[in-house]
Amino acid sequence: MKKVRVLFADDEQGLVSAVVRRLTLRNIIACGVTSILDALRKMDEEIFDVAVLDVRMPDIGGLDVLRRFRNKYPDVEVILLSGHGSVENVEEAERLGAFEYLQKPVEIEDLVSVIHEAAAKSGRAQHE
Amino acid sequence: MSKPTSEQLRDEGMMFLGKIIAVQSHEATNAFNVINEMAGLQMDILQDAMDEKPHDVSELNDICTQIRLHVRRGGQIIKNINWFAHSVDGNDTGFVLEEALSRITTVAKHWMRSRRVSFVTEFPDGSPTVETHPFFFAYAVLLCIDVMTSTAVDEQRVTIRCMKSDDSFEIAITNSRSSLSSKGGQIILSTLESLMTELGGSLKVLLDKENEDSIVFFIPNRRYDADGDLTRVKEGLQ
Repeated sequence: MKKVRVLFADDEQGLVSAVVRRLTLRNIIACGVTSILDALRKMDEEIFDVAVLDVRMPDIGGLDVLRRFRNKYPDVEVILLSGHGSVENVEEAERLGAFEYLQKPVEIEDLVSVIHEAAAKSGRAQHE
Repeated sequence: MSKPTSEQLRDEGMMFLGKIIAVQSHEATNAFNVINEMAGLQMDILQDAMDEKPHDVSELNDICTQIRLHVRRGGQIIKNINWFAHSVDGNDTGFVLEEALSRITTVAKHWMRSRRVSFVTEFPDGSPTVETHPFFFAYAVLLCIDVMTSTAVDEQRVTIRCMKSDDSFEIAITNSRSSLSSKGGQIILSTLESLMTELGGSLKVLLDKENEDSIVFFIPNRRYDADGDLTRVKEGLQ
């Protein structure tokens, strides 16, 4: 059975540790980082099917994150997480190619479900 | 450039207070999100244990520690929100300078998180209790930090040095570079001058002295009387 590879980025270390662990317990290969620059570095080093990114990160914020990812890694589906997204942000994110725009806090089962849907669409699924 | 009037200052101050509370409530939400995920992870591990799947019980101890840490964090954030909310009252104008600056720099770090600023506070004469309007004081310090850090691209360290004399205190805020010379910096400087007038004090700007920019506030110890006006210095302060 294929295992989905996910990169999870949020500037809250505690959140990253907990979510990565919970995804791992649900049979997902998860890697966590706390900055977008580290996320971009990881994307160059390893293969991921899906990236889950917090929109509000100190180093590169907002939808610039999405633009960078979609430009450099068009085969990786991006799920955005936000504490408070406006309708305009959601529409802009969809226009820029985000797979989904989720409001925090996200139930883990909902996140896993969206990750699997995104991975199915991704062109770089990892085979096990 | 005309200085803001007292009324404009109060209006701008209220908007500023709104920004501070929004920043702090966002941080509180972050803390709750971490607690939520940690609690969920705890439930996952317990479920594995009940299902007799392999599990690491020692991990539960780490999770509990993390939950308590973030509960304390949330508590501190709420206390900060309380401090700023009550600071606008102006009724209780005595406060410990070290505690006030700790709250102010915490808010600054959250508000300006993309700027990667760290703070060093120095109290050569010990940590005094001072008397002035706490909100206008906090507003002035935060505006000062904003203008001192807005142009920097690398990690930076802001030094806040506090000195007290018998009837006044002095705060010097220093960084290696500021935007004081820009048009935006001049607007902020104008607001700072008005704030100092409200506090009965003054400020001095030192540009490129020993490769650093500084703003120095001179603030007399004063309290509000029953009519809401600043009175003369109260004697006998520590």
